[in-house]
Amino acid sequence: MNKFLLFLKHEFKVNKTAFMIPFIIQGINIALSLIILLLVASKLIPANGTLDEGLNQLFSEINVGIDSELSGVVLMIIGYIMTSISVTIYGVLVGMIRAGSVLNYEIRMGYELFYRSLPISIWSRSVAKYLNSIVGAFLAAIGVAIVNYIFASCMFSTVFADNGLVWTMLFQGMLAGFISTIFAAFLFGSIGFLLSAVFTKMALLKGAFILLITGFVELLLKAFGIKFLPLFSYLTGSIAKLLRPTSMVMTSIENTKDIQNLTHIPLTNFFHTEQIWIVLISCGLFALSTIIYKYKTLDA
Amino acid sequence: MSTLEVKGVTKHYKKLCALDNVSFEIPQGRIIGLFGRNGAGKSTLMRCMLGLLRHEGSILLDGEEITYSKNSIFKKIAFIPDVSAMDVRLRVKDAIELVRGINPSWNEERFDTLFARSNLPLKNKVSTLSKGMKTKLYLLLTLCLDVDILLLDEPTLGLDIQFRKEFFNSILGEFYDGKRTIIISTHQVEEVENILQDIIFIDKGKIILYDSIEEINSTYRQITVPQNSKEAILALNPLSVFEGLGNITAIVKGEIDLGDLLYTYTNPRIADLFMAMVGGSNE
Repeated sequence: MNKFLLFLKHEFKVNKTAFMIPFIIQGINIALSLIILLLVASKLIPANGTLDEGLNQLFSEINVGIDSELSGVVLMIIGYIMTSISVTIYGVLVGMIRAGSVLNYEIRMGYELFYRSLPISIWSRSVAKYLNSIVGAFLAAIGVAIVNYIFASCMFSTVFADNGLVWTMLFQGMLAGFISTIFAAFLFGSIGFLLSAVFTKMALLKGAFILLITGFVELLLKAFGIKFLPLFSYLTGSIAKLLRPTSMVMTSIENTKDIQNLTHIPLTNFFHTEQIWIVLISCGLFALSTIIYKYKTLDA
Repeated sequence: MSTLEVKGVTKHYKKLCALDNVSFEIPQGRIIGLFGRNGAGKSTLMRCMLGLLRHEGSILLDGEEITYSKNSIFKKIAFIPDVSAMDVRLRVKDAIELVRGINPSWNEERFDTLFARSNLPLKNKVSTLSKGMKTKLYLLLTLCLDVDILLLDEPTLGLDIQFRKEFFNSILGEFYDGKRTIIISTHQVEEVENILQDIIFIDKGKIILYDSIEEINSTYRQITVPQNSKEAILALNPLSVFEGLGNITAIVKGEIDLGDLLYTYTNPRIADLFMAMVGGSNE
């Protein structure tokens, strides 16, 4: 097997537990949701009735027609949150948390000498680590999204009469979530990657502290009318931009009179030019991280 | 097969000078002992030789400079560090698979021979292995590589005396074919002195001795005289003097001329010579 692919496989093996965490959390989420649903349904069981009747009672109380104005929209937004925003949050959090320790873990634990004594370049190792932490986290988020999508669609299909529409619309929500996640995971994962190259211990915490200080300095400079490298503003602005595909879908839900239109949102609406910049900045951050990592001294 | 040249290598850790203008040349096929006290610069020197540390001066492998982080040299050089560097997240078989897959110089036949002697549990995680077993695994992975130069920095740390003996007297023999070079740094001098061909002493970042065992044996003598002959011994400018039970033992350089005085002499043990050269005398 090619050296790089072998190392990629190795990176996955040593980090596979981290990839399971989103699935475990989401499994617990779903299990809890079902337990709550069943508990509520059990309270609604008529005298001498069955759980099935209790569930029917519960669904009839919240049942709405697809044309119903507010409650239908609110439920649909909940569905979108389940399928898209949660995915983005997973992607960013898992990506950033994983990336935040990816380049310093082996140094911290004393394994780095073993890896540096192998005939594989630091750049190859760095790419394998980057792909595993960021793309890996993104793939884990997709897994969670699919689980969410199936769960949310099954649940909402029992509420809405038009099952096909629910599945299509929530698929759009999931797609919006995917696209937001890709770019968000790239940017924030790359920041985490850089922090892991710079700091050996508590990289994310130190990064967050620096970000806060930067924000404070920016505010101070702004108060004096000086605009200098607005890093904090850029990052906070990026979050809003990255979530645009999801927010766009949600705005469409709120604005549309005919909810059927939501199944026809053009895919191009999910993309914008800032995403290109985010990819370029992420690549730059990756290169900078690898150079710092390469020159990190392993003192005897 | 490869030769290694170290030319004017200096390494500072902030204000501390770990290596001070170190120069020497290692021909192929030698087994060399690198000795020094803790903090003398042994590990730093080895890591500089592997391109794992930035330094001043140059280190050449077959005439080609080993620059910082030049990983391709690990096709020709293998290294065992003095710290337990094995990734404990791996299973034993994963570690073997990784090194085997990444290293083009992996020797499967030697692996089979050494693995059969190791008692390593393939399916176990490295984290469940004892310190000694982890060291065994690291040794196994390194000795299975058909490299020209092997650097061992305290290779038997944490191993029991039986395995240490087996390692130096037998296992290392599986690797050494007379053409390969082995550089061993260890504090357990007496366990390796029988297999060494050359000796390097390093102290405070400087090479204070680099010679072959034959040359050392013909240059240095350990002489023993009765206690009442102390002045005659001191007249020889000994490197060290040790007063024992009724005798005085000294290590001297060059020819011995004690006139009619009765004395016995032997070749000095490496540990004694080292102590003598870095200031271990009780005088």
